Amino acid sequence: MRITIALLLALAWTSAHADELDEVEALQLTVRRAIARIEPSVVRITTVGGIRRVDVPNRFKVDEEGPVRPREGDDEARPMPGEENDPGGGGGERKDRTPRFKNEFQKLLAIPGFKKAEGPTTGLIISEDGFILTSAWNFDSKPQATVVTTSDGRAHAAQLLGIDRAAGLALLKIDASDLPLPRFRDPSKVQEGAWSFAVGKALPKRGVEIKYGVISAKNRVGGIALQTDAACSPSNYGGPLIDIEGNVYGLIVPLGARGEQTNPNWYDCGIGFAVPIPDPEVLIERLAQEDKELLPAYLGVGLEEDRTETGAKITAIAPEQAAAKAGLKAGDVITKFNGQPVKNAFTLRFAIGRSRAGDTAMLTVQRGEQELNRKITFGARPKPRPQGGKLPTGAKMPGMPERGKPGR
Amino acid sequence: MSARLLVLLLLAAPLSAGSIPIRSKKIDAAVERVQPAVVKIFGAKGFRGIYGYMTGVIVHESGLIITRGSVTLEESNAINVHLHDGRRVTAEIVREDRDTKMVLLRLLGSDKQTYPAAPLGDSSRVRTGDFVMLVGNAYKVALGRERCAVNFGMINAIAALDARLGLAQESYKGKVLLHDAMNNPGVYGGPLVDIKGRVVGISGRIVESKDTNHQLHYAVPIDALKPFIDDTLKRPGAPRFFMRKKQAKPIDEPEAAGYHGIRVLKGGFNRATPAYVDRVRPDSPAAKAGVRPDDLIIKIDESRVKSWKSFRRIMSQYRAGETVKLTVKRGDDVKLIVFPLGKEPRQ
Repeated sequence: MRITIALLLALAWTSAHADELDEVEALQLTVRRAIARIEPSVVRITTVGGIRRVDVPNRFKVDEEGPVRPREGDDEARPMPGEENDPGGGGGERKDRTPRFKNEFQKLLAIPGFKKAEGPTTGLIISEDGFILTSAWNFDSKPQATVVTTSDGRAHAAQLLGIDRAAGLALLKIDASDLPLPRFRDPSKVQEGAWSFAVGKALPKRGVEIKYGVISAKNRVGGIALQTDAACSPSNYGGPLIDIEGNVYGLIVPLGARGEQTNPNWYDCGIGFAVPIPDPEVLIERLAQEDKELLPAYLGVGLEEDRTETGAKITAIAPEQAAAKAGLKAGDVITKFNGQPVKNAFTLRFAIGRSRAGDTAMLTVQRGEQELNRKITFGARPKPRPQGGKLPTGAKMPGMPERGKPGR
Repeated sequence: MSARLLVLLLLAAPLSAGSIPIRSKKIDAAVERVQPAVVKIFGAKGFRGIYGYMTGVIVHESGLIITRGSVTLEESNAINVHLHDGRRVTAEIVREDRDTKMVLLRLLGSDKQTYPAAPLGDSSRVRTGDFVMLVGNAYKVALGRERCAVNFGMINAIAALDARLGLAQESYKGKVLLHDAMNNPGVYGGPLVDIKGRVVGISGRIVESKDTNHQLHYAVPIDALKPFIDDTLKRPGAPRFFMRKKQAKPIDEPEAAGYHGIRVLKGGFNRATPAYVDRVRPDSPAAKAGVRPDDLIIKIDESRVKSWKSFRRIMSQYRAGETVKLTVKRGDDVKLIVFPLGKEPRQ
C-alpha cells in the first residue's frame, strides 16, 4: 500500500517537474552517484626508485635541470651491433652527432613532448584485508618502495606479490582491515555501447579522475579484455572501468591489440582495455605469493586459418612444447576444449588466451576416424633466439619484461 | 523508502529510452545563453606555434572581456574582436593577472554601448563527472557572423596543477578544472560552461602533467577569477598588473635554505636513485624529530621525491622557520615526520 502511494506520488512529481530535470541533468546526477560509490575503493599508488624502463638518449632527456648534452662514448646513442645504422664492427667510432635509436619506440620517445609516463598510478581494493589489484605496468621497473594511499588519506607501505603477465595485472598487499570493497559486474552481462567510466587517482589529491566513454567491444586481446573508448592513460592505468551505477567492469591495463606493451601513441587515443575480474578471490589465491609470475599459456601448434566451424586443424607442431608433449600431431583437428566445442582457430585462441602457463586443459581431438582425449599442461612461450647476430623480430627492449602474445 | 523509490523513478524515467542524450533542450538553452557573449579575438601572428586567433567571453555589459594572456595579444598593434553578430570592434588590454595568466580586455566602442555578458556560475559547486561545454574559435573555422564551436565533455578531475607548457612551468598552482572537451588551438581563453549555460571556468593552454607526463586540458575556475574581474570594475584606473593578497616572498634579500641536517645517499651518475637517508647530523632539526639513517624519503609536503636530486632541489626551496612534513618509509611502515627547519650552525 505504502509503495503504491509512493509510486503514484513519484509519478505525479516526475510529470510535474519533467521540464526541470531533463535527461542530461538526470545523467549528471547518476554519474555523481556512481563516482561516490566507487571512490572509497580506489587507491593511489606511488612508487619510488627502480630502473628506468626505457633508455631515452641523454640529449633528449628533459629533467628538472634541463636538457643534457650527450657525452663522448655515450653508449645509449651508439648503434647496436648488427643494426642498420651500424658502421660495421659493432660499436665503432661515431662520426656525427645524430642520435641512433634501437627501434621505433625509442625514436618516438625522443620527440620532445612525447615522453614515457612515470609517476603515481591507480589501484583497486579487492579484499577487505588489504589486497590491492593494479596494473603491472608500474612494476616493470622494480621499484624499491611502493606506497598505497587510501581514499581516507592514510599511506600504507605495500608489498608486491604476484604479477599476471598475460592480463597485465599486479597484486599488492597492505596492512589494513575493513577496507571498502567495490561491487563487480558479471562479465557475461556486458553490452557493447553501454556507458563506461575510467576511474583514476593519479592526479587529484582528493577524489578521483573520471574519463567517460562506452564499451567498444568484448573479447579483445585473445578474449581476455573489454575495449573502451574512454581515455586510458597512465593517469588511470590500474584503476577500475565502471558502469553507470558504479559497478566494476574490470581493471584498466595497458595492452596492445595483440598483447604487446603499450606505447605513448596509445595514451588517450580512444582505444583502452580493461580486464574483467570475475572472481577476485580466485585471483588472490593464484597471485598471493611473492615473486609469483603468471605467463600467457602456450600450446605450440600452427593452426589452419579458416572460418569453418569444424574445429581447429593443426598444421604444425612446435618441438618440445605442450602440444608435442601431449602427443598431438599435425593433421589433428581440435574439436573440444575442456568439454566446450571449438569451432575454429579463433575460438581455440580465446580459450588459450584465458589460460596461463602451468594450467591444464582437456583437449578432444579428431584424428582421422578416431576421437582422442588428451590432457595438456600449458607451457610458456619460448624466448626468441637471436639469429645471425641480429635481434629477432619481436625482441623486447632492454629493461622490459618478456611478454609474449597471448598464446596460440 | 518512498524517497529512495522516488529518486530511482526519476532516474529511470529519462534514462530508460536509450540513455545517451542525443539532443537536450537544456543543452540547447545553455548554448543559446552563452553564445552571444563569446567573442573571437584576432591579434598578432607569424611565429611558429603561435596562433593569431583565440577566444574570449564578455563578463560585463560595459564591454569587459576575459581571455587568456598570450603573445597574440601582447605583440599586437590592434586587437580585433568579432562579436557574435558579426560586428568588429577593436580592444585593448586593461588588466593582467600573472598568477592565472588571464587578461581583461576592454572593447573600444562608444561609452553608452552595452554588450551581452555571460552569466558567471559558481565553480565551487562543480563536481567531478559534471558535463561541461567549451565554446570557442577552434582553428578559426568560424568567421564573420558564424557562431563559435561547442565541444561537449566532462569534468575529469578537480586538482592542483603541476604541469609544464613546453619546457616552462605552468605557474598557476591553485586547483583547476580538468576536462575532456577538446581544447583545440583557438579555444584558449574560451569559456567552460555548465549545462545551465553559466561560465564555470576559462580555458587555459594544453599542458603536460609533470607527474604523469600526459597531456591535460584545463580551465581556471571562475571563482579564482572573480576577484580579478571585480577589482578591475571597481577601480578603473588601477595598475595594469593585478596583485593577489598573498604571502609574497621578499625578493631583495636572498635567504639561505633552511637547515635540516639530512644527508641523502648520493646516486653517483644515476639520477634515479631514490632519496635514502645516509646520515643525520646529531642535534639537527631532523635528528630531533626522529629521522634516521636508511629511511626512504617519499614525499616532502605534497611533492613526490623521485630521486636524491629532487630531494635536494625541493628542500632548497624551504627557508629557516618553515615547517616541513616528510613522508618516509622505514622498514614496512610509512611515517609522517613534521619539523621546523632551523638555521645552519656555524662551524
